[in-house]
Amino acid sequence: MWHFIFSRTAVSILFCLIIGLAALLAPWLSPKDPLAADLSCRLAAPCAQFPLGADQLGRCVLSRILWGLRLSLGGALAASGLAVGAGTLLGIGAALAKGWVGILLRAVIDMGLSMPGLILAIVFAGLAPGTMQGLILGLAAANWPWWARLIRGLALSAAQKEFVIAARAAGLKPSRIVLAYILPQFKNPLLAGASLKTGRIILAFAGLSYLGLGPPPPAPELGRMLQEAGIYMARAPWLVFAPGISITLVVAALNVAGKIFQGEFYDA
Amino acid sequence: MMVPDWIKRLAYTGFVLWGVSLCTFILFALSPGDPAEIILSAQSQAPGREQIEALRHTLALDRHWTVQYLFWMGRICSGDFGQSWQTGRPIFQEILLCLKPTLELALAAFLMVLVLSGASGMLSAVFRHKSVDYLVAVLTVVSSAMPPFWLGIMLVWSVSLGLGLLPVGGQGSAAHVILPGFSLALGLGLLQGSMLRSALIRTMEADFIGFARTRGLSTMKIFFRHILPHALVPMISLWGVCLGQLLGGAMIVESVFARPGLGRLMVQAVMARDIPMVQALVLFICLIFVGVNALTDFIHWRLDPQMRAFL
Amino acid sequence: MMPDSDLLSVQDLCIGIPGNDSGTVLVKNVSFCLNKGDILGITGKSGSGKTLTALALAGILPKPLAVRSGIVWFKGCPVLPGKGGENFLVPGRDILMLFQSPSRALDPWVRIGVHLTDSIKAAIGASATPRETPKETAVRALEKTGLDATAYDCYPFELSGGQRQRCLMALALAVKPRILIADEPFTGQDDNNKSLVLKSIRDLTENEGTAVIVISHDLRGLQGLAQNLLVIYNGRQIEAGPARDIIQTPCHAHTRELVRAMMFMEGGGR
Repeated sequence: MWHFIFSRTAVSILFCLIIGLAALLAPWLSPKDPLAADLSCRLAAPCAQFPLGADQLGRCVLSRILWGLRLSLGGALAASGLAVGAGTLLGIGAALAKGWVGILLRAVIDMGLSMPGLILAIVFAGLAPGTMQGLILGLAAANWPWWARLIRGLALSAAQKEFVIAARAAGLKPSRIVLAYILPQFKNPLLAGASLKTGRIILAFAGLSYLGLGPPPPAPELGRMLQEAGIYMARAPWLVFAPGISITLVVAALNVAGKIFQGEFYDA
Repeated sequence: MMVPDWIKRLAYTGFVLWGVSLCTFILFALSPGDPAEIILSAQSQAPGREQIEALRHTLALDRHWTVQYLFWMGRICSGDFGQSWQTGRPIFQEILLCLKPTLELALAAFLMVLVLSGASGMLSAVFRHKSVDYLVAVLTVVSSAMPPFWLGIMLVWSVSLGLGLLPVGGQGSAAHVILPGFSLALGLGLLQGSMLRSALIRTMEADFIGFARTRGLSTMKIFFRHILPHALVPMISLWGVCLGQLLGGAMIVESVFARPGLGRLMVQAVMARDIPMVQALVLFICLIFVGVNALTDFIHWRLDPQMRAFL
Repeated sequence: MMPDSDLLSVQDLCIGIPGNDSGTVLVKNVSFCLNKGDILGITGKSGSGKTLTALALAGILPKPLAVRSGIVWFKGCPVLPGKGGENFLVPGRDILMLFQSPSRALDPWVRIGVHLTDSIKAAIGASATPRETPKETAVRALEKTGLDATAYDCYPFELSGGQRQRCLMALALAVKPRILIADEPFTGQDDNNKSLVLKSIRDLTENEGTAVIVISHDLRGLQGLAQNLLVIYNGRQIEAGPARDIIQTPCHAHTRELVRAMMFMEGGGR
């Protein structure tokens, strides 16, 4: 029992849970309103009143980070969900469809893959600049080809497994075959991919809002906070450390979770 | 008449690139916001209706999007990439200006990735399960979770401004490329190092390695003749994708270090709705990406004698 | 104690997963002696530990397995395979093991000729100046096994399974180790190849004085080939001695089963 508690899996799962809860419960956990500016406390160092200090408008950094995590995680999950959904549909379609339709679908996936992700994200996000929805759309657009290719590969190899061929020979309905035989094989690669990709999306979120593509200023977006904090580095380094470290922690937790699903963590 | 494989491949690639340019065009055509209005607003205060209409006519924005697209394709086929709507300068020139700094950064970062991944992969495979391995694993988890641009900011403050060792930003010399290159390369390099480690370990467990040992071959010979080629195969694809992404997508780090580059150009073009520029850049970057992928496939083909036999 | 004239002497070899005393023991108390030109057969049903014994002697036990106890002597020097005894029992020159599956033993991306010349160079080492180049030795060995000289430039996937087996035998003929361990050299081969393996082993033992250990669950094949026989059952050695004696008058129940099965197959199922 003790062995499990201190084992790596337990620690990392616990970590992910803590972060997830923190993000979820931000409205209740954050000590202050993230948008409440108090100019008398500009750039206050970390103290009892402001656990992580205050930013250039006197807002509580801790609160902003909690809400920022909520934004990032929420947005990343939304983008991931969209990407997985679109990718699954197209991937399975490309794998199972015959003839011209199959080739066309494969070409569409290749089109998506022939662009570096960030470019696709910027192009799509640029359609609705200055909004969260734009970012989510952009990152979903950047990620769905990867999912489509993964799922197409998995579907192709699953369809060739002997027990699937046997099921088809036995005359089971295609929908039943997909649900009961093909999809369960996807479980681990999907979970691993989802964790890792969500981590990447959070990084991309931060990067794009650093560039100005996400929700505009009062919103406590972590990347945007970093951009604003750049000039205050000498006077108030916590403004740069805090958002960066929190992003790192979240993504690290997701990466570790992803590796556990891959079964690779214990190989370390 | 048998069509050779590489021609089919070329045709397919052309089709894919065309599809990409079409989709990009449609996206912008259908998106909200009037480019003419945006351009004029950037130049002066409140543009009048006639000005906007005049500009729309000049830029052919009043025609249906299909017509616009055909115009654009026609011009591309004759080599004319058009002018940027933001600056009025020829697009081709603008791209060329940004090409050198982008290439410099991408190549520098790629070299660092190769060195980092090679070193960390081999070290952790050889000293598997010892402290070096664990240390590298922890470093990998942390560095691949850090936003590269945040690492860049911290490096600028500590190394450039704090220690005064390297220039803060801009471009021009090798020194200008070290910090941005490193910010990009650290996370990627260590992550790929862990892939190399897995590949090495998997290869080391193969039967033919045991056979090589019983034949009396020296460790070095076994490593270079039998282990490395097999372990490098999965790495080649990874490195290829990495190079492609570095070439096309370092825009955030470019921003932190105030370097001109294709990435920054793209961001500016998108924000300003500079459609010809976006189209040209999309085409250009995709071409690079596809080219790198083709190179990767070629290297795979050279490495694996079985693939060569079947082609 | 063993006389110095013995080439290889194994006493109470135990192989398992090291650790606390209760660690798993997979092979227990295997003992035998080998002289120059001897042929020893090791037999037993699948999974009894024959291959593990061979791997231990060749020094290539896969982790986490290791030799837990026992003494191995080579030309009068004590050797615990893999623990500094490497200086005395050198892989390649002194002891060479041919794996059960030639396809898995050969690196698919390396030509056959390279496999051979690498091994020859490793075996010769810095010692004598050879009368012929490694390539010539390799080609001669390949031809001795009935393969064309063109096999030298081939990749393993370009050859058939039987040809790959011949390449392994050619490797043994080219390297001329003091001790050769052949793991299931007859299994899955057609009669042509089987006779070739036989010929090569005889060539090595009679002309080069190589001591050969043949692992096989084909009792019939071993009967004509080996002088001495070792029967292993569940990791333990249950019989050891001259092959003919053991087969004619088996002591252990399991050996009797094996002999009976052999006669059954020979008799065509009657």
